[in-house]
Amino acid sequence: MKVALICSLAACLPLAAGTLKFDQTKKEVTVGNDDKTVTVDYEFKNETDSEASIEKYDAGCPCATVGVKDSKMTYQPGETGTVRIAFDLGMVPGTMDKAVAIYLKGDSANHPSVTLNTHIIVPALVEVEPKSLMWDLGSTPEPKTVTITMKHSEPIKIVSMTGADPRFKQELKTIEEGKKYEVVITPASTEKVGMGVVHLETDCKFERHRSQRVFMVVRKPLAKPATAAAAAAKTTP
Amino acid sequence: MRTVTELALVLACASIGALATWKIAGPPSRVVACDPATISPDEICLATVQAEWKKGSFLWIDARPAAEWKLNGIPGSISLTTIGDKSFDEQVEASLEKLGTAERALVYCGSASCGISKEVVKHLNERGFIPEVRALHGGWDTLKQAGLVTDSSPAN
Repeated sequence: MKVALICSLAACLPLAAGTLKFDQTKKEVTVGNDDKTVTVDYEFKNETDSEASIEKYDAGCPCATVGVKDSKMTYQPGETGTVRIAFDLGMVPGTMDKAVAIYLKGDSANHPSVTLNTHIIVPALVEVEPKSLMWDLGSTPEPKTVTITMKHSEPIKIVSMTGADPRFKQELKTIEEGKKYEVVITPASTEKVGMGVVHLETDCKFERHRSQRVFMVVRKPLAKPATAAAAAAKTTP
Repeated sequence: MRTVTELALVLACASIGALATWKIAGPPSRVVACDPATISPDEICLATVQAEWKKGSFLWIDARPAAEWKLNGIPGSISLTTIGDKSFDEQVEASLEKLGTAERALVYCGSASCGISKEVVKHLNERGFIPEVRALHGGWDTLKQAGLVTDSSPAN
């Protein structure tokens, strides 16, 4: 009987690994205008009766560096720790969602015990809308307008506009100095497929926001997707 | 002597348990599973691409760091990523001829969990060049498993 009991317990040994409870598995951070990196901490505690070990962590992308405080990977019941993630923010403003997988001892290859999700907001100080203009081949070469709105508390001026492409004529209009501008772009012709870029340089002191681009494309008309065409035909009286 | 015997017995039973688990559940799976019903709307399974997207009718976009793309990106692909020291629009300008004429694009990044491909999809949709842009579920891992990684330059 005693032997049978010991054997049963032994067979269950692989299932006895402890786990870690994180205070939060989702966080949102808003970064400074010129921050190149941001660090986010996730606190955890071993609230089980067994030892828990972090076997590995996977950020999935080279834009994040993951570490555990003091490089301590094994936690006894009641012990606490911190996973620290440093994100490289790159040069692109906007929002990004990053996931870091934490694999504990006993986890299978593609199923981590915990996934830490970070929503990062990199404020856009210069908003260009729309970011690109398109004309169909053979359509009327009518002017189209891009609006540039400064979202910073201080004024940001457009200091230059370049893009000497004879296929597109561009005109910069100041709506409110340091706050709002418009660029009116007109293709010289829509008889040929063509692409162009307008470069806008601002006096913004933050590198990430200083240069802006507007893209222009004259292209073949796109075929309507079958489903959309069918839906349109259905609603036509 | 009895302690040693019991210890050996415990170890033997634990080993049998582990072996039974391996036999029943199989070895750890490294295959990136993809179910079209459960992936996010901006993603697509490779099987769907292979079945429904005509070969050569779409643009491959490599969202891994540019150095990795140069090393072994998919032939004909372009590099477009949100990491590194180049702005997104600077990269778009470098590949504008391809982006401006593509009707479909498939974006891949380094693994199933990298997330960069979805960011690229989002930024491309904001620019509106390409009617349909999707992130490949599983990214590079899926491409490797499918034997689509040739380790040659993307310019080929």
